[in-house]
Parts: sequence; structure tokens; C-alpha cells
Amino acid sequence: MRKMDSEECTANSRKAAQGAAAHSTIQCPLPTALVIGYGNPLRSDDGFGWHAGRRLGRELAGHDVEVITCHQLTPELAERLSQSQCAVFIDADAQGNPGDIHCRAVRPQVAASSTFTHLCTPSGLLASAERLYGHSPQAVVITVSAQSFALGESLSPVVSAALPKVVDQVRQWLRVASASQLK
Amino acid sequence: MKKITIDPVTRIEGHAKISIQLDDNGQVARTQLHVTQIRGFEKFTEGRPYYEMPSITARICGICPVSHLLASAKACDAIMSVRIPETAALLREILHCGQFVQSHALSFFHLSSPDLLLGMDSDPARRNVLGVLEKFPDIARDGIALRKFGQQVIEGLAKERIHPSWTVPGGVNAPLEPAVRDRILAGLPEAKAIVRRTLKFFKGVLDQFMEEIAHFGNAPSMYAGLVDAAGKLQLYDGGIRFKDAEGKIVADHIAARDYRNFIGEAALSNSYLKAPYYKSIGFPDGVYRVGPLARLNVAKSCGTPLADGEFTEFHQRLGKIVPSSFHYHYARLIEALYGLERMEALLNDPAILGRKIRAHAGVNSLEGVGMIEAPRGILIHHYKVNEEGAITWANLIVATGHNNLAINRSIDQVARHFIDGKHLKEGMLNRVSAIVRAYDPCFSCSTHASGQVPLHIQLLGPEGSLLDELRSE
Repeated sequence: MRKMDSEECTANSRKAAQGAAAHSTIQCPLPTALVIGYGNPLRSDDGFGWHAGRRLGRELAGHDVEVITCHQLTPELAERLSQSQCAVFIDADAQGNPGDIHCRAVRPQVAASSTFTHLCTPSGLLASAERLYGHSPQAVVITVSAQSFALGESLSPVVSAALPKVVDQVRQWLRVASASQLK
Repeated sequence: MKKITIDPVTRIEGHAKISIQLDDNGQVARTQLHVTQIRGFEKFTEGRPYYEMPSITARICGICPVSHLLASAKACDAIMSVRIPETAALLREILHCGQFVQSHALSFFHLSSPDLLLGMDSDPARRNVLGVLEKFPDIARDGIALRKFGQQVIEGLAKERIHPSWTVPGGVNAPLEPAVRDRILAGLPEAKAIVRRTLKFFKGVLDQFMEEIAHFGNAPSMYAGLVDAAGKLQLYDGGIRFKDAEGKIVADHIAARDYRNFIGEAALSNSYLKAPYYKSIGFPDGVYRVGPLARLNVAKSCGTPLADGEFTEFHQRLGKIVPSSFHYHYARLIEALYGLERMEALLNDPAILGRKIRAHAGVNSLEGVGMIEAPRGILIHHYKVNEEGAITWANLIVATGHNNLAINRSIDQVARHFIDGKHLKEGMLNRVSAIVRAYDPCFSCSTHASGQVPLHIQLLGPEGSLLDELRSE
């Protein structure tokens, strides 16, 4: 679970929602995209990234979208990010009202000083991708405020209800990103 | 009296802290490593069917789940009294080699290279993998690529990088597909090139660390590792060889089932990590080291051409027995090269694509011991079951546990040499942490004992004087 500090991209999502077809099937080709859902799937809502990632993996099968689910962000992901045109990080958030969805654009930023190797952030990873491999993708972080981090493999009802909305939001954002990449 | 606490020790797997007691002159009086977590797998697996143990115990660790899978599967093989098919044994060993490569890459590049590249005294806020990435992108890229290759080997064979369920009692549950074999073989030349240039780089900077080499656990101890019948390095099979500090073999080819005749287990105060010792010498003097340095000290050779070239140079340069624990790093790189070469040999074995991969049987023995070399040293899983196959007792001796006494002694040596309590600098404390990192301990792997940890509560006054204490041995 990470807390992001990048700018809101609600406007982008709104535009995306306006431009998106009423149904959820993706109509136009997607850019080479990477979706990273992360958290602890044994800690209830902290596994939100895994649930969303798995669902997106099924729904986006056949598109040029790679979905990764993992417990935490690690430096190895920098290489995968550098090969993508756009990327979505999906995580649970300890702050906010349970079930609230937040979408923020995130840009490369060298991580603030840290003694802890285990702490990788999306912005830090993007910076690593740029530094090591010469490219970082356009990226957003989508988080859902959690209700419970207790032991368990299921999402709480309020967070579970956010799942289809997040899936749609990811798909819509990928469409917008796709359109901007094609320009 | 003053007490310094390093809490947490960073860039290790698991959680630990170090306490350093200074005397009135600011000199180190006493040190201890405290492993502050307990996992308890030995206890809560009781009652589970034995064939679930590989999957359950793999959850002990996210770094080396393959090691636990394999040791556990071997213990289950013993309970079933089966000899697994040749292809299955080859496949398990390839998986193991992939694990060694990714784990050794993690230890060297991600965890220890910040000390080695940026300096022991560099800014602690940047002395991490991200700092390496900024200043040494070529080396960071190599580290990422090598670890990724090892993970891809695991994923190619077992379908999952972490906690794969492919290794099962009696063998493995799917054969190797030719395309996967070819893909791994195609990646080997670059992986070997990475390790070789890293070795060249590392040998070139060794002279910058002469003081650390001289004081990082550079003290006599025994060494233990698995060897084959000819005395060569063995990671998946073989028996334990113990050598003394002078290099004399004191016990050899100890089978897994006989480990208790040679290894005793003690508990330390203020730590959840048990402390194995060489039984005939006794506790606490029966200190031995395991892991890469120990393996290269006990083996006659590696058995693959490039690694043997490095093995020979290692001993020509540093002696027949290499005592400094700083050289765990060097040994780790040689083993990574061995893992890649061994993997190549196994993938080219005509039997590797065989379809007979699993032996089936029920409970034929009420006890089983599985033993392998994990990246950090000898790993032993010992189970007892009832007639129905339910676990009635389990004992796990994990690599980091074997090294517990040695790590404590190394911490003491480093602290006494580098720490000046009157002019304390962060770099001094970093060296104390760095010696722990040299062993690449995995504390989350190694704390399972139940009912063995002595309780010791001390009530200290404001000056650190002992006012009262309670012990429960």
C-alpha cells in the first residue's frame, strides 16, 4: 500500500468517460501498456490491486496490455515500465472514505532519501526507468480507499463495489492514452 | 555504560536489531544480534497432511521459496520412500540453480553493492539500490537483468516466480517443454557475461576494503557445506562435509537422516533465532559457518569450467581456507557463475525432456528428512508423521540459523574494531550492519522454533544498571 502525491487526473478521467463508448468493450487499439496491481492479497482490501489486475488481465486478453500483480513495487519493474507507452499502478489506500476512488497522474521523480530498499514508489520507478533504460511511460496511479486490512482474501463489500468502476476507469484511461500516443 | 541500538538492520531479509554495549571509556563491551520476529512454522504445521508441506513451507520466504519447496519435497520423498525419476531430479536442480542466480543477484547487487560501490561511509540516505542506480546505471542494469534471468528460469519451469507449486512430493508436476529449454539456453550467454564482468569489477575493488576484509568476521571457525561423492560442490544433493579452521575434514558425507548426530540446537537470550552448533565440540564453541564462503572452503572444486577457474583463483589469492566473512560476496559471485554453468549442463542432458516426472506412493516411513543447499547455506526439513500422513512434529534448520553464532561473533569483531563510542560516526555502525549483510541472512526464513526460546526479562535503572530480572529457561 502506498500513498501517492501526484496531481489529480480526474479531468482526464472525465474526458475519457465522455469519449468512451457506453459499453465497456475497447473499440480502438491500445498502446503497449502495463498495468501493475500491487498489495498483499492476504490482507483483505490491501489485495485490491490483485483483484483488479486479475480482472483486467481477463478482460484485456488479446490487447497489447501486460498485467502484473505483485506484493510490492521492486526495482526490476523499471525495465518493464521502460518498454511501455503507458502504465497504470493500482493500489489500496489507507486514507479516505472506504470505497473512494482516486486517480492521479504520476511523473518520474527520483525517490526522496530513504534508508529502506523495500520502499519503491511509482514516481521513483518511473525515474529509474528513465535513468536506466532511457524511457518512462505516461502513467497514472489509481487507488481505492480501503475499509479493512485484516487477514483475509476477500474484499470488503464497499471496496468490492469499487472494483468494476476501477476496471472501467483503467480501460478508459488506456483509451485516452492510446489516442494521445497516436497523435 | 551506554547502549547503541541499530534497529532495524537494513538491506536484509526479515527483521533484526543489534545492541552494542559500551563501557565507560566508550569502548565496546558486549554486542548481540536480536532477531525480533517469530514465524512458528514448526508448530502450526502439526496436523497438516505431509504432502501439503512443500506448499505451506514455501510461504516461509518470498526470496527463496524454491529452497523450502525442494527441502520439503525431499523430506516428503523420504516419507513416501521413493526415488524420484531421473528427469524430475534434473528439473528440480535447474529450478534450484535459477533460485541461486536470482537470490545471489539480489544479495550482491540490490543489498550489498551500495556499501561496495558508494562506500561504507557514504550518505546513508542514498546508500541503497536507488543510489546505485543513479551513480552506476550499468551495474544496476546488470543486477536487474541477472535477477530477472534467474526469476525467468523459475517462472519458465514452475509457471510462477514466487511460491510455485510445481515441485511436489515424488517429483514435479509438469515436464519441461522444449521451447522453455531453448529460451533459457538462449539467455545463458548474457547471464554468464554479466557475472563474469561483475567478478572482474569486484576483484578490482577488493584492495579498497583491506580493513574490512581484515576485521569482518575474520576469525577461526568451522565450515559446513554439501559435497558429492568426489568432494565437489553440491547444491541439490550430497552429504554434509565439516572442515575445521585449518581446512581439515572432521566429518564427511553426512546423510540428511544423520544430521542430529552432528548438529545440536541451542537458544540464545533475547533472540528468536536458534543457534545450531557442531555437537562434538558443543555450545557455544562449536561455531561453524555455512553459505557461499563455507561451501567454497569445504569443496574440492565446483565442477564446471568457468567457476572452477574462479575457484582456483579465489583460493590462490586468499588461501586454502578463506576466513574473512567479507569474502562471502566474492564466493557468492563464483556460485552464481556455477549456477549458470550447471543449469546449462542440466538443460543439455538428454533426459531433461523426459515425461516420467513423478513417483506416486503413500506413507511408507513415519519420518523423513530433506536437505539441500539454499543460497544462504544448508537447509534441513525434518518431519514426523502418523500412519495417516499427518505431521506430528517438524524441525527446520535454516541456513541463517546455522550462521547465528558466527554472525554474532562477527558483529562483535567488527564493533570492537570500528566503533569508537566517544567519536561515533554513522559509517562505523554501517560496518556493523554490513557484516550482517555479508552473510545475506534471511531472518524471516529462520525463526520457527516453538517452546525453545528462553524468556529473560530485565528491569534496568536509568543508568542501565540491573534492578531485577526474571528468567524462564
